[in-house]
Amino acid sequence: MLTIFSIAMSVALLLGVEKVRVNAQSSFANTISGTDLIVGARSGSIQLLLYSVFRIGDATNNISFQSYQDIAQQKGVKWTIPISLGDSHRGFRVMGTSRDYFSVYQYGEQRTLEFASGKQFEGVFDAVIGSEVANVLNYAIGDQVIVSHGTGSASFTQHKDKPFVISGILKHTGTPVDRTLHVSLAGIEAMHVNWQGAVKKRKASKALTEANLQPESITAFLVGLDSKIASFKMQRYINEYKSEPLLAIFPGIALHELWNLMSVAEKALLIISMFVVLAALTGMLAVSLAGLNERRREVAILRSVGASHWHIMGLLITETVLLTIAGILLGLALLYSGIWLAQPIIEKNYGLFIPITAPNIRELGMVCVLLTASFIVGLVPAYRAYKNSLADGMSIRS
Amino acid sequence: MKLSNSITIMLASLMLTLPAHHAIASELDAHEHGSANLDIAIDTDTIQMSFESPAVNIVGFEYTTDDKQQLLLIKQATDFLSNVDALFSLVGDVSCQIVKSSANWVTEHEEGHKEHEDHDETPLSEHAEFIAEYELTCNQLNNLAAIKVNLFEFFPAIADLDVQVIYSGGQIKQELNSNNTLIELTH
Repeated sequence: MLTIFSIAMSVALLLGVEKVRVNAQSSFANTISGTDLIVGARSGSIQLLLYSVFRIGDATNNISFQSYQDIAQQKGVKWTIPISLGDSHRGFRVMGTSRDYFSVYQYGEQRTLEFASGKQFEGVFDAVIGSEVANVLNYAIGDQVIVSHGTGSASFTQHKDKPFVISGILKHTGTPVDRTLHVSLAGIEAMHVNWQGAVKKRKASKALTEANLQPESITAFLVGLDSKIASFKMQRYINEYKSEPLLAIFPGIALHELWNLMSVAEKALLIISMFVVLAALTGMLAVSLAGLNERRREVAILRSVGASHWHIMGLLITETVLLTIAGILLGLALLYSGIWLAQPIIEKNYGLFIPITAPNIRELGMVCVLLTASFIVGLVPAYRAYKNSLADGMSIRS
Repeated sequence: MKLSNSITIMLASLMLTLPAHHAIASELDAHEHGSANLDIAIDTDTIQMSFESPAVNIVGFEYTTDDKQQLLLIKQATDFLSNVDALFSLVGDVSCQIVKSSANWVTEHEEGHKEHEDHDETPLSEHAEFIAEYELTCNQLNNLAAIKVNLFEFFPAIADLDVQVIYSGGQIKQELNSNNTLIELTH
């Protein structure tokens, strides 16, 4: 029983590592689709990708709104979405963007954002929240929210004088969008009006309209092109942009670079879980060898009633393989119940959604390798039993 | 006009002297012997490819030369690199026509100062590259399953080729070498 359990644990670990790896990749890949280029300040391509799309990692510098407008008007540019990050609301990121975001931004298999209720922001102080923001903070349309300066839920400087009103709630996407509060660029500007260096300045606030709230800078912007043919030319143009050092990256290629970087850690995890499987198999071997000694007489009796050498071997191998199969089944049960239990926690903390899906080819392959390994392990006691003579079992050891 | 021109040139050369800027600005111009770049963009009925390699991978030297034999080598290499049919094979049921297929020997000096046309007093360049541009117009590009790169057979000095592909199926980055010459495209 313990043997089955140790195999079950190792199987659950091995497949669990694999599941997390595959789903982390697809969840990242699903977050952005249809975007040809991401443009930000000169940094690293991975840093820019992680910060602008996944809102993780270190902040990149801002770029001037002037450059953004200039590039947005270039020939061949179909659409652009500005992104302005830096503020937060009770631990959730606040992102300033344009209205195009809701019609143009795509995730997964080219799906656009949909509203669960309400509509996109119209006024300067309207906000659209992701599904998780709505769930966790229990917000509904019309609620007022106060945005904090900087990030983190314990930020002390709050933009209390300028509350936002929730105008829309987005449907669940399984991407960082769910954990974001979206406002217009003018909204971001507006809440910083009368602030200087993050310190509030008392001053009569003028009428805040979109016209007089053009931002001076944004964090990054997404670019869609008319034709993929222009991709490299546009990237070169932006990277060599004269008035400001900019960096244009292809999100797909930057992601690929990220996986390359991560592959070392992934391999290490895989190797560790393989060793755990190996340990479990060794444990099973030890148990069945010990058992063999006790079954000396059983084996001898079977032999004496006419069972052949091969018959005994077959029985012993079948035993180990059956034990392994039981272990694998229990392991799968453990894995899926584990995923089921951990799903909401992982999604909340890491934004990673791990769906319960049937094992893929690679995972089935791993299971097959494990079965073969158990067969080989089963050969060892079988060979021992084969070697033991009939007389050895019949004689009584002193 | 003249003044603004020279300011542009000054700024341009300033950009080149700033190492940090240069390193990033020339991401596509990285010069690593043994390594070459291939960028492929595919959309509707067009395939555009751009190949860049340090000259040493192609002809074995990188300096501006007057030697007749070496000039001939450069000429031959340029001609050869202009032959898109020999260098790449398209896998799948597609038929293409060549719109553009040309190659050039470019020294770093020329590359850095594309803006101004006069090249008097060209110093002996230390880095030179071959840059080739290809454009094909094709039918049924959805049937294009893969692109096979035959460069390694002809230029064994290219140890690895960094390929970037942008097409409707996604954005791919792949490293090819003489054992692995296929860029697979999934639609």
